[in-house]
Amino acid sequence: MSMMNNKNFDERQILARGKGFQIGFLVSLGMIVADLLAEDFLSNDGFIGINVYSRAMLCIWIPILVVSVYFILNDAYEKINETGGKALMGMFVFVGLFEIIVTVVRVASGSIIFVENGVVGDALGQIFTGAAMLGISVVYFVKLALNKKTFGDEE
Amino acid sequence: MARNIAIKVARAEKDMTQTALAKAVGVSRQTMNAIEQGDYNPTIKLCRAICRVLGKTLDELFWIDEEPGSSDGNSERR
Repeated sequence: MSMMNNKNFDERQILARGKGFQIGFLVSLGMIVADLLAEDFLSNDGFIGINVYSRAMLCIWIPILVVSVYFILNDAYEKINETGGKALMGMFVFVGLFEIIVTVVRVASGSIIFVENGVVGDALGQIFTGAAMLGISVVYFVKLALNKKTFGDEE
Repeated sequence: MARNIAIKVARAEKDMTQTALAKAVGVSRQTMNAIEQGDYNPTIKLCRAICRVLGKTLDELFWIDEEPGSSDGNSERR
């Protein structure tokens, strides 16, 4: 891969992304273990269980959140000269907010039940998905503003 | 790692911004900034590319003088 190819990640970004994926892999393993423990532990009397869909969303989005935030904080999210990040993150804000608001409204109106028969339903997974998308985009835009402040005055 | 002032000075001699140097070398501006701040140690390939663009040698941009009293006698690369 040519270093002069400005459509790719540079060497520092590649290193950072490798580290990020490594962390994401470990977080994924941790989530699998946590899920198995939760399934056993929370199924006992007196505890509130979490349904399969919500547990799956947690197991998927927590590693994605960790990896994405790591990439963004280490400026390894966008390729050299790539400019599409703002559009994607804008979409994340919209979809995240939509997901959270719709779910909260549906729970408040009673059309879906948050906890049924001692088990948290799909609502938790939907809210967490929206929150993760929102969180990633917030970190992105904050980092963008910080970078603008840091690199604003060209030297 | 210490800041690399030599790159900044060489850039100024050529009247180049960090963005322009990063683009010429083929890295992101954040990477070039990290190199100048001493937060990232570039590969020899990237060092050579920077030297080529700035018209300097590796020694001029990336070598620091051996500290007096150093016991191993080795110079240290930034």
